[in-house]
Amino acid sequence: MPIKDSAWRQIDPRSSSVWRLTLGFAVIMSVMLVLTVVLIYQLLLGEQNRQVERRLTAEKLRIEGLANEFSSSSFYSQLDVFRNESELLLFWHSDGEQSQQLSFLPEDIPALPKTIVFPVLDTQRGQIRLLTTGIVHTSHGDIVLATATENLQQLIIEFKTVAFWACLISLLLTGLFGYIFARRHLRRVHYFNSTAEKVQNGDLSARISHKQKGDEFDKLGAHINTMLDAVEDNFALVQGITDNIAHDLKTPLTRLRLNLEQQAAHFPEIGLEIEQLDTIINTFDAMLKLTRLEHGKFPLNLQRIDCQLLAEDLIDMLQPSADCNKQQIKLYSTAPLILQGDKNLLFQALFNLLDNAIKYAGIDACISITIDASSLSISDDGSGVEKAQLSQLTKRFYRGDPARQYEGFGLGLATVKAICDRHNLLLDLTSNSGGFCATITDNSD
Amino acid sequence: MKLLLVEDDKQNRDFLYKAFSEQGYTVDTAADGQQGLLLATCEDHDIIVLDRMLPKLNGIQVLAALRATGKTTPVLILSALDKVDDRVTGLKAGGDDYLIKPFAFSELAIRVENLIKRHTAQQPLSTQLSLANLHLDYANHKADVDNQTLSLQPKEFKLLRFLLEHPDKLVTRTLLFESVWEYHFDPGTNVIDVHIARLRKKLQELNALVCIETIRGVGYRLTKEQINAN
Repeated sequence: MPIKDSAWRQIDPRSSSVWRLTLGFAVIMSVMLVLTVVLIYQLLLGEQNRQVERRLTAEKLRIEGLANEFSSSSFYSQLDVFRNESELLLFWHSDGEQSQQLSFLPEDIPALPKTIVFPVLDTQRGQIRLLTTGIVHTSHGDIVLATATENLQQLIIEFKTVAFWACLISLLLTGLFGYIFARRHLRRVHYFNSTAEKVQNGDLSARISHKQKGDEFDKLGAHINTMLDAVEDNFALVQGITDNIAHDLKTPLTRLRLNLEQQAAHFPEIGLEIEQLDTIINTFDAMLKLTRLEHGKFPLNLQRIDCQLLAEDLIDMLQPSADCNKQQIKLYSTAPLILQGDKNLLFQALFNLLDNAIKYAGIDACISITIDASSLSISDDGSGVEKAQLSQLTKRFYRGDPARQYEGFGLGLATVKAICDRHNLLLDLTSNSGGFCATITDNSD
Repeated sequence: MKLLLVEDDKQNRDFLYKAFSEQGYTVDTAADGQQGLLLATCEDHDIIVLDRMLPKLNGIQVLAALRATGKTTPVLILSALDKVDDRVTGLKAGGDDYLIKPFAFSELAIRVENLIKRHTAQQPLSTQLSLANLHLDYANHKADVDNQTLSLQPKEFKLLRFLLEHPDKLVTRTLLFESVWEYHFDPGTNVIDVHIARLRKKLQELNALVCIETIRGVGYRLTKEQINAN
């Protein structure tokens, strides 16, 4: 699921520093927002709440004073007066005297200074009110003190709602802007990356377009471009030198070869000199080719390649050489392996591997070519290579046999490696007592 | 047969002039692109051998200009650059074959011959080839020596057919390789030598009166066996 994957990659904070920065910024923002909201709440609404409580406490003290001063009947008549002139609501139920204006009173009203808030239907006014209530215990009975705080409660609810939405929206906005911001920056980073990849793949003329006087990214782009200019100049220089060498060297070589060939008609022993000359030319060409491959200067002629056919052609070509060493070549194929690649180059890579196996596996060896859905391996049952040598094998001019008893320039495996790298194939060389094995794995998916 | 040779290096030009003349060609020579183009457009040639790096006009420009005039003379490009893209641009520009310097004259001669043959497009009268007591029928994929069937693997058959098509001629390794395998790369002397050795052995087993000579450093030649050699 590549689409899902890439979508996840875009929002995965581990894969992008800019996005990580944005998320961190969003977290800091929301913490600050919450702190501010709490502070405002405490300063404005909390203070009002406390005022209500202070007033109730003051009333409580006054009622307690009255209760101590007066007898029961005069205390209640005092309270009656009190009730009429104060905004506070007072309720009590003493022996035989009920004073109920409200639809109900809860059972668990705490003693002041503790309070409880509950909604109640005011029968006198015919509306639902929110009352903050508390009980005062006096010697003449319990007096319930209440004050209507529906406006304050309304305010608190509204404040909370507004604060909640404000937090949510600002968080969403931070996320959204952060995403847009991150994407804008990521797009530039991706652009840098894709340009770098183009260069890596051999397109040295790729450049990053940037503003003349811009931000750090523009400066970075300018620096990269300067660097690429220098690399391209050097490359063109080297290319020019090799092309000139190719031309200047090959014209006299052509003369030499044509002359030798003419003389060979009369003096067959000159054939040996021609072979020497061809060896020189081949080494030179192989080096140029390897250099071009390694620097991505070798254009690939891509096509679908069935490795089975490639292996069959290869065996056709090298079977007689293997027969000379009394070796067997076996082809095992469990699943078709189709590669997208340059036929000539891939064939050359496989040729070099099989040719090596024939040269080094020894008389009577058995060489197997195994093809499965993702890899092709060429293995032999010869004496193999020492472990320490394995990593050296793909280096230029490294020769496994110090005595140099076989022809070759030590470029074979280096070329195979370069061809595999150019095709994004993995070349793995292993060796044990059972022989040497080279595996080419398609790791494209 | 008229051949136009466009090559800037005097020694090579003189050598090729001499060698082609000896083969019976009437050779016109040009030392630079302009002169080459002038000769190519004004006169009719059977084949043009064109160097790629030339003063004044390079080989590709000459070729493009020539093709623009509607001339379809076959062109063989000689180049010092052994790069696949160069080969492709050369062939795309209208070249018919491409040979990389340094080359063997015997190979150039055979390639020129093949191009002329291909251009005149004669249908071969028969699909049979023979030399001494060796017969090969490539339409029916059969080969025999004195009516004894020669059992050949497909690649050996192709190898023998190519040699029979060019009897008594020096055939280079790369030419042989190209005719048998469709891969463009040089596997080295050994591989083709071993194939030839195997073919030679099969021919000898049936007492074919032909022999494949190996001429070191140059190539191979299929000839009738000398009677006194046997």
